[in-house]
Parts: sequence; structure tokens; C-alpha cells
Amino acid sequence: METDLGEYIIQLAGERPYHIVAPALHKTRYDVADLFSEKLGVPREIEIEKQTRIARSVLREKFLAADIGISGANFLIADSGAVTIVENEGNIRLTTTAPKIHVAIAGIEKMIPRAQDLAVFLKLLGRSGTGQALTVYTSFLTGPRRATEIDGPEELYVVLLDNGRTRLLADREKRESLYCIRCGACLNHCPVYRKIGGHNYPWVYSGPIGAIITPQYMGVAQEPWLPFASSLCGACGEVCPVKIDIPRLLLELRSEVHADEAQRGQGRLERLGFRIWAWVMRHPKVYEMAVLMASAVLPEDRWFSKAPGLLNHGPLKAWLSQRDLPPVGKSFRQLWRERRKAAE
Amino acid sequence: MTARDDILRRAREALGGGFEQPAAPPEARLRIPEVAMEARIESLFRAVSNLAGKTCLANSPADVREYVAALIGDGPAVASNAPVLAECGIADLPGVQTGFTELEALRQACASAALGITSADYALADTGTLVMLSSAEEARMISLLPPVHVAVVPRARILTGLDELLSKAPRPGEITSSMVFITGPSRTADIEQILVRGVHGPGEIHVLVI
Repeated sequence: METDLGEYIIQLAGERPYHIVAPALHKTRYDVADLFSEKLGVPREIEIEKQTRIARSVLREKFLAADIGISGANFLIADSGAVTIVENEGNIRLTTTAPKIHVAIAGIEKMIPRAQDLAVFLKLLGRSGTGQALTVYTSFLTGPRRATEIDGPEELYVVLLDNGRTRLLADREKRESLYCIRCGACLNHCPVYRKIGGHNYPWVYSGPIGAIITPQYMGVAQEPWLPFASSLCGACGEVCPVKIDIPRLLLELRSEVHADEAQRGQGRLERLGFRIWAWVMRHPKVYEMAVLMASAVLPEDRWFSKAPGLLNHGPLKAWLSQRDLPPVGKSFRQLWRERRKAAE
Repeated sequence: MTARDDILRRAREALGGGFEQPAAPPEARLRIPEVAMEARIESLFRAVSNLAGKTCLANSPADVREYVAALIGDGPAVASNAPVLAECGIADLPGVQTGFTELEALRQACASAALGITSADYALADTGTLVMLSSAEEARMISLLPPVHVAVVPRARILTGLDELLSKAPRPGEITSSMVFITGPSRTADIEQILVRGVHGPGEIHVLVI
């Protein structure tokens, strides 16, 4: 059972997280009111403060009754064997304090050498994630309760997850994807994420960081469109507190996707089209002839999608269904010649 | 071969052949400014107030006792076994339960208490943070389950910030199973990004410096 307020809401709704830091960002107080009254049998409550109280009292009982608490980890400290978790609500402290057993599951990239290295990371995470100097709670858990201590779990298990991470580690060009501290800043600044929302990303991690790690963990053939879901505006790379060059990685992945498609014999027509384009662009005379032909078909008042018959079929039509090219009119060379002549 | 060996082997291969011992990481850059105690207290109180916490500079144990007595009102309170609380006479206040050594009794008391009273092993002046080390003197639950948390901090324990703490306690595992930073009351903004305090942890926090 999920215990973070946002995660709890989306679990009740049977949905996936919408945002790395704010999972229920897409829900209004009225959605939550309907959800709580339907699933928890409480009177419909539209005040956010009271909704929070309802969740507190329902979950408090669960915490005190649970046998096992399962958490993730923000950092794993190698030299003293600590699991470090940051949060604002207190649900993680309860999860790791009240039940007899605590299981922490973490990707191997969470490992850092010493607690002292956290001085910088904790500050980066709070500031980039939620604009806090430090989050409300930061727990360093170094083992089960000791003999002299009064409370805490009797057993602590740390499960390290590879799931594609060592493969990524081996890739020198792209291993920096593993630097991510999951602050969510790249989501907040991404024009694509802001338009399409978190639910249109296929896997756990959404936004620009999701677009680079999902294909790398799952293989590029799995979700080949993901690296293309970006305008390459560069905002993600600019705000990233650990300086992951996300735009460059998106480009690397795009070329990997194409190489993969080529290997599987897909996208032949597109490649042929671009090969012809490249050839035309390298031959000025051919280029000029092509422009002349285009301007004959597309005079100054006619957009590409309105071109007569021939151009409006097959793959071109599919391409034009989402975008258009403006009228060609006279080319720069034509205008140049005309004006030179007029000046003489 | 265990899963652990397998992951380690794969990580070593990924980092390139011939990998034996990792190079020592570069020295962590910790910045510890010189800040006078008065300024530390001022900074601590400002940070706690900014997070909607309450603060009090107590001149004597009697001041602490009076402040806490006023907070307790009718509600039952749980106090940790920290010596500074005994020194201030908190344990003798009516309605205060303390001296817990058994988990079940502590859990029940905390679950129904209106107020949790603890000390703190350190306080961080720049961020308004309380540093709680779990021990026989400080249980984890007292600062967590009750809706109001009161911490009584001797002034000598106020550090400048996180960097000073991490240079004082570089390996928390050597002293405790749990080191927790508390920076203000529990909060969330998960519904419509509206700030609400007191989700799962205390919604109200009082920091007393003596």
C-alpha cells in the first residue's frame, strides 16, 4: 500500500504517477473528494487540509499494523553502509520505523563513497526538486535497531537492483544518465512534458530523463519514439543540477534508434528520401531546378498540403497530416538575379 | 555465484578490465564558516520560523518547564529519556509519560499522545534542522507520531550547518542505527500544490534552546 499522499491518491484511482516528485499533480481537490468518498466511504470533503487529515488517519492505522515496510533509497553510503532517504511528509520515517521489517530497494547507481559527499547532493536535491534548502526529513538508516535502542525495525534488508544499469555503465558516451538524483527539474522545464503530461510516457520515469533512461534500460527497440519526443530546446540540460547533457543523449539515442531500424530493415523509404535530399542539397544546379519545379506547383498562395494530386498521396500525405510547408514562391536566387538586373 | 557477485562482476566489467581496487575518492569539500554562538541561535530561529516552527530561547530550566507545561494543556505527552529533559523537570510535569524502555508501551503512548518531547543531538543553524540519533535516550517515534513535537536543545549543540555535522559525524553507522534530520513540520503539496502541514509526521514543531 502506498503511503505518500500523492502516491496513495493515484493508487486508489488505479493510475500511474504523473510526475516524479508530485505523483498526483493532475488531480484536483474535487477528484480527490470523489475518490475518497467512493473508496474510503467517507463523506465528500473538498477542503484540501481535511482531505489530508483523512489520509493521515487511514494510513496511520496501516503503519501501526504493518509487518513489513518497503522503501526506496535516494543514496546508499558505501563506507558506513547507510540507506539515505529524503522526504517531506514523514511517511518514509513511519515505513522505516513502525514495522518489524524494513526492506529498501535501490538501483546500484545510488551508491556514493562517503556521507560527506552528501553535503552537496542533499542541498542540490532539495533545491532542484521542491525549492527547499533541505527536505523536511532526511533519514540515514544504518541497520536494524540496536540492543540499547528502544524502537526501529528488527530486520533491515537492502536489495540492489541492476536491471540494465551495468549495461549503461559500460557505455562511456551515455553513462552519465546514471547521475540522475530524481529531482524532477527537467520535467518542470520541458515544453513537451508540460504539453503531454506524465501519463503519455510509457514507463516509470517521465519527462526528459525518462526519455533517455527508458530506452537505455529497456532497449531502444522497445520505445523507439521516446528520444524523438523532444524539441531539443535544451532547457532540461540547463536546469539539471548534476549536469547530465540530456539533449546530447537524446541525439545519441535517436541515431541508435535509426541504426537499430536499419538493421531490422525498417524505415527504408525515409532513408531513401533523406538520401535524395542530401544529394540534391550537394548539387546547386539540381537544387535550383527542384526549387523552380516546386514553385511552379506551389505558387505564392498555396501551402504544401493543398498541392494538387500527385503530392498528396501515401507517405507524404501521412507526413502532411501533422504539419505543412509554406508556399515556395520565388527562391532567393531568383530574387537576387531579378534585383541585380533591376539595379543595372 | 550469488546475485551480489554477479552484479559486482558486471559493474567491474562495465568500468573496464583490470579493475581491482577503486581509487580513493577526492576529499569532500566541506565549508564550515566561523559563526559566533549568538549568530547561530539567531540563524536557527529564523530558519525554523520561516518553516512555520515556533522558537524559544530559555534562560533557565524553569523557563523550559514553564513553556512545555503551557503546551501540554490537557493532552497526554510523551518525553524521551534525554538527560536534559530530566534536568528541566519535564518528567515531573502532570500528563507526561517518560522512561520508556519497552517498544510496545512506547508505541501505544506515542500513538495517543498529543505532544512528543525530545532533545536533539545537534541543530543546524543555517537550515533550522534538528539532528536526531536513535539511542536509549532518544526513541525514533517520539518525534514522529504525536501531532506536536517539542525539542529542547542545549546551545552548545548548535552547529553551523550540514557540512559541520558531516565532518563531526562522518560515519553515522558507528554511533546509531538511525540518524534523522528534521527540518520544520511535516508537509505536503500533493493536492493542487497547496501546502498542508502535518501529513504523517508532526504538523507543529517547537525548538527551545537552553
